[in-house]
Amino acid sequence: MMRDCEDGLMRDRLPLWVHGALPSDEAGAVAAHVAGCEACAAEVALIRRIAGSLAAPMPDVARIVAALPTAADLRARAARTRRFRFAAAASVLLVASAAVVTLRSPRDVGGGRADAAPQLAVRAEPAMPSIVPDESVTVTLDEPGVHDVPGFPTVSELSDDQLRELIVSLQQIEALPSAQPAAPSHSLVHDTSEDDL
Amino acid sequence: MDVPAKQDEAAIDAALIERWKAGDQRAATEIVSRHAPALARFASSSGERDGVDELVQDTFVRAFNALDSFRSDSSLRTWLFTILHRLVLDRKRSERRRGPSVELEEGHAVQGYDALDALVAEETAARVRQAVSRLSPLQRDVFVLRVTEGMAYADIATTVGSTEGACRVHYHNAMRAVKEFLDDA
Repeated sequence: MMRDCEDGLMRDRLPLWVHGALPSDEAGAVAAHVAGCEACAAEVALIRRIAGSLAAPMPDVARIVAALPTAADLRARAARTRRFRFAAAASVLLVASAAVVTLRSPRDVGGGRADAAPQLAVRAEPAMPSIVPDESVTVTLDEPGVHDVPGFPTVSELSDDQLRELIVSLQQIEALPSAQPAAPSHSLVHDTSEDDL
Repeated sequence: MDVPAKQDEAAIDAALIERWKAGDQRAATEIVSRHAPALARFASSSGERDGVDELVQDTFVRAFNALDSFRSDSSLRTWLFTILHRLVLDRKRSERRRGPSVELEEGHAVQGYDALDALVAEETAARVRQAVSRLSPLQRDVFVLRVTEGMAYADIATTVGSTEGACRVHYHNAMRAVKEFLDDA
């Protein structure tokens, strides 16, 4: 096998020179080199031979063009896509609005921190003082007196009997999430005034 | 590396695309005529013996469906080669899932190109194709794009999803392997 030319940069340019892809000044330099370099001349001949050997039959242009979309096709498709996206966005907005109206409980209207989570409606139980701290007062667990709700010991201070009583009384509480309609027959957008009563 | 001839080619493609966007479907025919032969060469030498026409057609269909998004960051030809390269890889993947590998083995290469041999009718051409078919897929793609299309390494790297430096190494290794095979023949 003939030794390769030691000018790697020149060898790198040979395929581009063969295909006329070099600027004229570079092409001139390569031509001059090839004229005086037997190894590069042989490589150029090989590149031409390989390029010729890898020829493929010309594809059927008419058949390909017949399968292509027209610019008008693409514009129509883009318009359809825009309409679909608009309709989808409107649908999502509508469903989201309906969900917000449905899920808002009457107490939400007045606002308040306790409304952030689903509420439990307590029935048939004696009134108990709320242990939910007044939201106007910001407290941390490290502050003294956090656990000192007047008249209510902390859980750790309860005796076993007191704990049993507490569990029994909790089990007697009938709890319903107030955000959920009381009956399945209710419409999605129900009259909230009923819950106010 | 941009050269005047290459810039001219890009300008011609850009003008044809504008004509097509304006509704001139004859511009599509010109675009296909300009690039289909090179795409067919690449598909054929990538080991896709069957369905070269189908691959080339799919390439153009995908390209034209996305022509609005073509921003001329690369040349139209490089973009087309990139689409074709992905199609070839997808086809090879699905063929691997369906059954044994269809990579050309030594001895299969000449048989695999029988139809083309009949057209070329040269023993040396068959040997060259056999030599190319023995390269690794990436080496072969880089080598074919460099040798048959005179592509710059930057464009080859874009097409095959590699780097210019890696493509340069692949090209020179492939050239050495092809020379050795042909010298031994």
